Amino acid sequence: MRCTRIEKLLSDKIDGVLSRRKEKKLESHLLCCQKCRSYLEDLEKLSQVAGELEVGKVEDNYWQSFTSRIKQKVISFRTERRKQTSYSGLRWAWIGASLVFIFLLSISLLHFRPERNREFYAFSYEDTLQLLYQDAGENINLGDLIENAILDSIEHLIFYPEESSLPGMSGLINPWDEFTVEEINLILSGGKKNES
Amino acid sequence: MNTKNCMDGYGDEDLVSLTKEGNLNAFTELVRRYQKKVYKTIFHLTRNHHDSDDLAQETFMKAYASIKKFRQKSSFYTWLYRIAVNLTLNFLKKRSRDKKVESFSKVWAWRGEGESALFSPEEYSAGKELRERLKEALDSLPLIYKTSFILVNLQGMSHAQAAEVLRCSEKTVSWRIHKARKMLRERLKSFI
Repeated sequence: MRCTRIEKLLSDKIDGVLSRRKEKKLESHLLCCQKCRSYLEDLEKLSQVAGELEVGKVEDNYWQSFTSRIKQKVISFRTERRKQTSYSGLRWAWIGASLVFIFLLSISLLHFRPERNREFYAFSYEDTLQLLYQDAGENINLGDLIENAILDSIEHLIFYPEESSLPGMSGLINPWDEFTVEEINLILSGGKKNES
Repeated sequence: MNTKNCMDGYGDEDLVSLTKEGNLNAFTELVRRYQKKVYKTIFHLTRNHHDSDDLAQETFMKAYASIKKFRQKSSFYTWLYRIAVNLTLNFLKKRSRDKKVESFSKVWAWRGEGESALFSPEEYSAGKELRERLKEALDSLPLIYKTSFILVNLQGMSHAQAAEVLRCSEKTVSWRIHKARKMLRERLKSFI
């Protein structure tokens, strides 16, 4: 075995990690190699001196204060982490609640939008209502006024459907479908009930 | 309550489990057990008390912060050393070493003045000279060789433990130590 390989084995021997088989080979080599024996002696000396190297000037109270300082740091760390955790939790709770609120609001706006029926538009015929409100200030017979306004609105809707299309109404309507024969006769007669 | 007394009977694994449950005294006991070893390993690498103090504290704080992630597949001691060595190697890579090195005579000491009586004055003087040169030679080694050498030769770790700390194979540790020894011998030939 070459001396360069033996040097590696010598290092392992010092650390006690050499297998029995390799140790036997090493021993037989050392018996006949002065150079490697000298190398082993040098390594042993180095290990001995290295083992004598120590850290100096560290007082005993340094270690006590070291433990205390770590303990104090850990306490601060725990407090800080708790704060961060609670702040973080609160923040996420707020964000979550806001998102849920926005989501529910959107849903309610989309699905629970009040439906506008055709009668509403008929009754809210702007000009007629304005007149109605003006008259209402002087005329106490509101029942007749309202009835006439309604009938005017419906009549206008029937005969001038293209003018009666209001926002929210899709296309023109066929109001005749919505009324009974009696109601149509009533409308055509100008709101005067057939007393016969 | 004396932390040392009430936690003395616990093994490292128990203390780690207790720490995970939030027991501060358990962690303090772990600190007490390993502070010197951790500090000394760091000091051998940095040769600066203030840096070693900072890095040792950082090591324990990092260990505490991540102890819940520690699965206990390796020993706490090995895990802690891994943190310490990684922090120290990163620190040394970042900083220019020459600026941080203090005078050898201020920070290194021989293991006990009383032991000088075992040697003759000539031997003591020669030994002292060799130790001083060894410190310089160690400092001149590539960091990776130096770390392996320190863990095994100065901290008394086995190759397997050092391999676990350095996250490499035992063969690699063995090779690095061999190279470190060879370099040291070449540099100290005239003093041995």
